[in-house]
Amino acid sequence: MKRADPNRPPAGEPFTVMSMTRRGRSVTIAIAVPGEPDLAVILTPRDGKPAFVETRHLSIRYAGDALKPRHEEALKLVAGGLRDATFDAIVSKLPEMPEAGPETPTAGGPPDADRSHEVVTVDEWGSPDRWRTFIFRREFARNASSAIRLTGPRVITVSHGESECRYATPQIDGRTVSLYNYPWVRPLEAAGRPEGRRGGVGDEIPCYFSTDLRDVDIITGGTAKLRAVLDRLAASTVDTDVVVVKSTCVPHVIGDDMEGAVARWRGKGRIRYDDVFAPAENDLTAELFAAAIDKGRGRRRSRGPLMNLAGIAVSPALAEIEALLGAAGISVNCALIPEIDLVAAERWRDAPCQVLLPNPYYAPLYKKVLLPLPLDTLTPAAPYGVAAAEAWFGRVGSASARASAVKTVLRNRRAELGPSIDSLRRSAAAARLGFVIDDTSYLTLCDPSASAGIPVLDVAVELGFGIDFLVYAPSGAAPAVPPLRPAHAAAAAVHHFSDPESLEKSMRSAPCTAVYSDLYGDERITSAGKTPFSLQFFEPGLEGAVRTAERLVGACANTFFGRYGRHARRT
Amino acid sequence: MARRVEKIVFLGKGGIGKSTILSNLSTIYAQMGRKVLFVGCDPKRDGTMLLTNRVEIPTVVDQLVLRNEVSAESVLLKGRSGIDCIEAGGPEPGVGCAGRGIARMLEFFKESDLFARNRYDTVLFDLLGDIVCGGFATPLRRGFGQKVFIVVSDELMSLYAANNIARAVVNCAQNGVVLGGLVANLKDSSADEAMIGRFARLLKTRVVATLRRDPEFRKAEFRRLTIAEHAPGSATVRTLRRMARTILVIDPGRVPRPTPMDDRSFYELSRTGFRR
Repeated sequence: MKRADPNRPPAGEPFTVMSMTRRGRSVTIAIAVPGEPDLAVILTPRDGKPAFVETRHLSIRYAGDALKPRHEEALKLVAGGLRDATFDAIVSKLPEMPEAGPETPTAGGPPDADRSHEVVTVDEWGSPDRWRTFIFRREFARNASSAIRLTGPRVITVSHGESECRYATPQIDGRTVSLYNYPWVRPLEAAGRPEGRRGGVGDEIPCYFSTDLRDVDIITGGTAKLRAVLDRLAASTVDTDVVVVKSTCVPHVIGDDMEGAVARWRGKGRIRYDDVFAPAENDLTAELFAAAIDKGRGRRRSRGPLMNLAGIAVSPALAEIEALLGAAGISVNCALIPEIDLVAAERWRDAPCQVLLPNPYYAPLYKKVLLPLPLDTLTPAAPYGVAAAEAWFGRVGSASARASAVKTVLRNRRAELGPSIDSLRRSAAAARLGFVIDDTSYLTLCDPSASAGIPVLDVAVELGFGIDFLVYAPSGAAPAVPPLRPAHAAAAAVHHFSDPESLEKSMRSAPCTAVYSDLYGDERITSAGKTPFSLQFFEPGLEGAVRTAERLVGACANTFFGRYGRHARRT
Repeated sequence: MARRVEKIVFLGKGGIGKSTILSNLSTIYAQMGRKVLFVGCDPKRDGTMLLTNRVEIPTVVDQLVLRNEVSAESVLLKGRSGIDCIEAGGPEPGVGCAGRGIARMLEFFKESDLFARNRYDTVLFDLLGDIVCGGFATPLRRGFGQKVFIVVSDELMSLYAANNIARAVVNCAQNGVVLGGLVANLKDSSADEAMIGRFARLLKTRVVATLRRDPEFRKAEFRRLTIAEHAPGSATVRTLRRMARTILVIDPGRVPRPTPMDDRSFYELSRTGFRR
C-alpha cells in the first residue's frame, strides 16, 4: 500500500491510505479514492459473518452506502494485498503506517497514549454516511484542546476568531448553545456557578476576550484587530501572569499573523500564543501547567491521605466526590483538568498521589505533565454508574490506606441513596434507550476511552435500561449485526435500517423513547417522536449515577416529542 | 421586450490584458446602445480607472470597512459612455482574504437587486488572473457570470492558466457557465497563433478573436482612454467590435463543455505545440 498523502491520490492511482486506526480486534483503514468520497475499510479476524470479502485470515467490510465501482476496485486491491496477511501481522505494522492510532486501552489502563486524533477516518460532515451518523467523535477530538483551559485570577485568554465558532466549539461561559453535545460541557447541571470551584475565574476582572472577527475583518485581515486587543491588554492595569492567545480556524485560513502580533510583546513575557494547529510538542497549556506545578517544587509534601484528582470537571459531582472522600479522611488537594487553575496547580506536588480519570482527550496532558511527576499515580476505571463509582472509591481508598473508612462511608452513602437507586432502576426497567449503530460505532460506545471516559452502554445497562440497537444494513446486503457483548445482548433488541426513510421508520417503531446523539437537539430523533440524549447526561460518582439515571428516565418519560416532534421536521 | 442579460466573464493569466480588453468591450457595448455594468473583481481596480478617469475608486470592501454596510449609490461609479462600474476592492497586499471580498460583493448584488430586470443588459466581470481559490470563482459558481472567455498569449504559462480556468468552468457548469472561447492577445509578430488554435481545439473551444500588438493601445492608455474611444477607426477596434458581436450571438445552450487536460497531458502536449 502507498504512503498517506494529505492531498488526494494522484490521477490514475486507484486509492491512497489516509489513516489506520485500531479498535480492539478491528482495524479501520480510511482510503481516498479519486473522484469519490473517502471509504472506511474495516478489517477483523475472519469471523464467518457476512463481509464484502474474506481472505485466508481476515473479514473485510466497509462503512458507507452502496459501493461505487472505484470503491469496489480499491477494496479488491486491498483484499488482494492482504491475501495472506493475518490480523496480528497487520496490527504489528501499525506504528509504521500513516496516522496509525494506537490500540484502545482498556478502561482503567494507563492513560499514556496520545489518542487525540483517533477515529479520524472520514469526514463526518462530508461523509455520505452522515444521515446515519449520530456519534461525532471526530468533532470531539478536534475541539478537545479548547475544553482544556487555563483559568485563575491571573490568566486572561484572548480568542482570535469569529464569535460564531463558539456554536461549534465547547462553550466557555456555560450559556452558549453548542451544535454538539460535548461531554465536558454541563448545561444540565444547576444554573449558576457550580459548587466546588476553587480559585477559578476571577469575579472582578474579565478573563476572556474575543476579537470577534466579522466579515470585513476576514476580507481585510484580522491581525490588526488582534494587535489592538493585545495593545489594550498590555496597557491595562489588570495584573496578570499570562495572556494566552488562541485562534480559531479562520485566521489560519486567511493568513493572519498571530505569532507576529504576539511577538511584539514577547519581551514582556506575559502574552503567549497557543497555536492549536502546531505540532503537539508546542503545547502552551502543557508548558504553563508544568511550570505552575514546578513552582511548588521544594514545598513540604503532606504525608497524610492527600489526593490530587485529574480529569473530573468542576461540577457538583466533583464536589460530591470530594465530600465522600473527605468523610473517609482523604482530602482532595487539587482537582484540575479540564480547567487548569495555575495558582492551584502550584499545590499539586503537595499531595503524594494523583488519580487520573481515563480520558483520551486529556491523555496527552497526562503524559506530558502529570505522569513524569514523582507521585504515585492511580488510573482506576472511570466512576460512572453505581458499581464503577464504588469500585473507584475502593481503589482510591486502598491507595490512601483508608480502605476501611471508605468502605464505611460508601456503605452509609449507599444506604442513603439506595431507595432512590432502587426506584430509578424500577423505572429504568420499564424504559428503553435507542442507539443507532454499525460495527464501528458500536465499538465506540462500548469503549469508554472513545467516549470521554464514559462507558455509555455499560452504565445504561447497569442502571437497568432496555436497549434498542438500530443497526445499519446496506440495501440488498445481509444485516450485519455487530457482535454484541453478552451484557448488552441480554438487554437489547435489534432493528435494521438501510436508508434515511427506513431509519426514521425504524426509530419511530422501536419501543425506545430516547435515542443517543452527539448533535444538539438532533432533528432526526425529535421528528421521529423520540427524545435525544447524550454524554452530557452522564455524571461521575454515586450521586452522579443517581442524577444520570434520573435524567435518562426523565428523557424516556418525556412525551413532548412524541406529541409535537413531527412539527419540528425540517422542510 | 426585455433583452436577455449578457453576463460575460474575462479570465486569464495576470498581466495578459484582461482589463484593457474588457474595458474596451464595455465601451463598444455602450456605443452599441447596451446598458452596461462593468464589475471589477481585481484589487488593482484598473478596469474602472480606465473607464472613469478616476484614481480614487470607492469599492465594496472600502464601504464595508468604513460603514459596515454597502449601498449602490456609494459604490456605483458612472463611467464614460454611460457605463456603470463597480469594484470589489480587496485587502492590503499580504493580508486578509480577497476571495471573500469578491464573494461579499456578489452577496451585495443579491441584497441590492442590482441585476433587477431591465437595469442592465450587459454585465462584464473582470476577474483576477488565475482562479486561485473558491472566492475568486464565486462569479462563476453562483451563476452570475455565464459566458467565460480566457485571454491567452502563446506563452506556456498563459496556456497553463487557461487550461486551469477551463477546469473551473467544468466545475461550475451546473450553474450554466460555459467557455465561450479564447481571446488571443499576441505581444509580437512571431507569436505562434496556430498553436493557440490547436490548444483551443484540444479544449473543445475556439479562438473568438486575435488581437495583435498595436501602439495605439499605449497611446490610449496615456490619454486614460480606451482604444475604442482613442482610435475608433483602427484595425484593432474593428477586431474588438467583431468580437463583441460574436460574443453576443453565442448561445450558451449550444456550447460544448470544455475538455481541459490534466497536468501531465498538458506538459506532454505542450512539447509538440499541442499537436496530438
